[in-house]
Amino acid sequence: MLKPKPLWLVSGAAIAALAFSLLGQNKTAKTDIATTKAGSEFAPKTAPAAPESADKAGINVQSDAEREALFLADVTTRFAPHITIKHAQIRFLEQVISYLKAHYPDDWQSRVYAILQASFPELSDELMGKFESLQSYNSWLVADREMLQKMSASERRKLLWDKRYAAFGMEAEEIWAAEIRNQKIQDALESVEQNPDGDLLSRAESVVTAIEKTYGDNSQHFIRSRQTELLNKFLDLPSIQSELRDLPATQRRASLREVRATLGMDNEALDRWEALDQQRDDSWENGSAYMQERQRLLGNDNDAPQTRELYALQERYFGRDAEQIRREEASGFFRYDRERRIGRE
Amino acid sequence: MKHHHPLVTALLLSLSLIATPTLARDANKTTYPIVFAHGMAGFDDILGYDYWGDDYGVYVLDTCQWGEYYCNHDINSSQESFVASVTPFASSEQRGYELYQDIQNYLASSGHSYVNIIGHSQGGLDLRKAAKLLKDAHGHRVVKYGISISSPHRGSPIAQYVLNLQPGVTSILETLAEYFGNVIYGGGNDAIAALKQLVNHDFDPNDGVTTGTYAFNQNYPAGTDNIERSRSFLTGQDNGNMNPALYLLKELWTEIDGDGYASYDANGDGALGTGDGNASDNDDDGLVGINSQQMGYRMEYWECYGCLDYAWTQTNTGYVADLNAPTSTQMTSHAWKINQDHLDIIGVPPDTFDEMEFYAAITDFIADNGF
Repeated sequence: MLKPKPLWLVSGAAIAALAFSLLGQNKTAKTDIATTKAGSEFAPKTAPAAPESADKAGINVQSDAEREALFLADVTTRFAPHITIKHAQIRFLEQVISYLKAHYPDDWQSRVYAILQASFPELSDELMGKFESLQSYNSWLVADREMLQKMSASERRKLLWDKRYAAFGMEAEEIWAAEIRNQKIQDALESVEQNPDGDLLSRAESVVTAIEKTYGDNSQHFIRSRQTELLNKFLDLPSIQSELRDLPATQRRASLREVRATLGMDNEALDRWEALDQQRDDSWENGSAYMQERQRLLGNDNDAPQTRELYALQERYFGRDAEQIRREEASGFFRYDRERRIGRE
Repeated sequence: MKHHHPLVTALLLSLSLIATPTLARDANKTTYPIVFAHGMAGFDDILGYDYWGDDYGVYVLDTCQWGEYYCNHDINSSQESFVASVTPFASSEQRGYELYQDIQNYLASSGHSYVNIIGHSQGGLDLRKAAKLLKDAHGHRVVKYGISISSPHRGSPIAQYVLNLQPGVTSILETLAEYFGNVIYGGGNDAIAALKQLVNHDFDPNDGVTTGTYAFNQNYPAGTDNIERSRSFLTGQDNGNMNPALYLLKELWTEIDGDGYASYDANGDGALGTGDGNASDNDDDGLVGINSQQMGYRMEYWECYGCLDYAWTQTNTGYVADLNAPTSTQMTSHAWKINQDHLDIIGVPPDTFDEMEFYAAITDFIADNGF
């Protein structure tokens, strides 16, 4: 648990000094917990009792002032490196709101400015403005929730952004920058779906190009860390499924290999995938044959009672997995009685 | 070479002492990757918000590269994770099978042989089936930690309420669309099967199929056969702080009384157990009573100022291996419950819950315990 970490110097010297001395005390207590914890996943008997309360931060603290100092030291340390970034400001404000609501439920709003001044005095007015904007935006989100839910995704997105701009101006784009980034990838996938020209490979490459534009220097890291999710998203597109379905099995496996390589998978991964594809092709061939024979035996009645003949059929097709298939059928789920999602199952 | 004044040197020395090891803010890297299994409805777009994200679209286990800001600064920069996606509305027989396939895909891509799974809501049921199929396929337990969050392991009264078209519900589909958005109308969904899954008993004994959490729990238990360590986080919150959508459920429909013990669904609300006569004592998170949520050992989430938050395993309510037969304590105790509603712990605003630190703390817990 103990790792070197520089303690950031924070603004507000008096608060910091008090906080540091208290943090020192707290550190000792937490170190004990951490040391005990390292040897076992179970909470140590000596750990602070944590029964019902949502907030346990004040457990080792004697007074409100000490607790406040600990909180301030924590958030300033945590947010100081990024506090000029608008998204960090909003996350910082969420922490302040959460803390104040927990400890001062009746007059928490009136205490916000004092906390902002104590933590980031040079930014307190700007942060107070953000706090008011956030309150206004969240109130709207609550009030118009029903209307939002009835909208299509694109209508909803447009209205959300109108309201975000109204509340935060252009800074909304910095607050929701990650969402914008995610949306660009989604837009690229939709574009692939709406423009079905080109082969599978070129369409996969167009998604990669969109990622490179969106993520810049971090694009390779993003692709490497989210390979399977990106592959899933690409393969889920109806036009891609349709194209894969039309290909003979051997060619399909080759195309899938190319697509996966485009997403940066190395030869070892591609070989593992090819083995999985082969195994799944065999399973679906077997499963489809079973469903046909099952239908001959029972007709189209999927709810027909299990019979000795059906048991024998399941044993013949699935061997040691027959029991699992029976279990699923008893619940109404037939894994081979639906359109296969190529490359995903 | 530049020489400092002795006072400056002393100051630098004292600053270096300040920078000596202190309790860390960043979680250790897990040995095995973390797989996220989502709940009913959402894969990455609930009303435009990312499911496994903060409320502004940052993925909770997005690792930081040099100079990058929009990521989780509390985790190790090489932490590995995978976000699974299954049919939004379907039984856990189907969703668990799809989760299994998705994990197989991830294992092929990554080369890993084991995973940890964190499942929210119905994702906590799905992960049990996925664990069973993974063990069958590989011949050994693939799932190390299986951690459920706010999962209706023994049913949710809301599911039965909607299925019965009780007051306020005129159409199952429209009702689900109202609460989950238009995703319900997407191809492949089966809203009825999804809801029947989350009722404890077999909702319709005459429909030719056996549904519900009771039968599912018998087939996919929480013991150590398929999952090396089963754990669960419980959530429950007072009405005043609840997400408005969930608060409306309580106001307009029914308020769950979810902390009474019975060995069967004694009050007939669709969840195992009963109430204690007081529905307003924070005994549910808007969708699930606390008496449905424990699987394996309970976990505690402990917020820390000055260090990364902690997640612990707590043993004093015992271990729930047979999900259909929890003890009285396991159904009635509020111990270690997180004071949040069903949606606070995923990326549905507005809330002030720190999703980034919560999932970093779970990551650290898993890493520190060898998985």
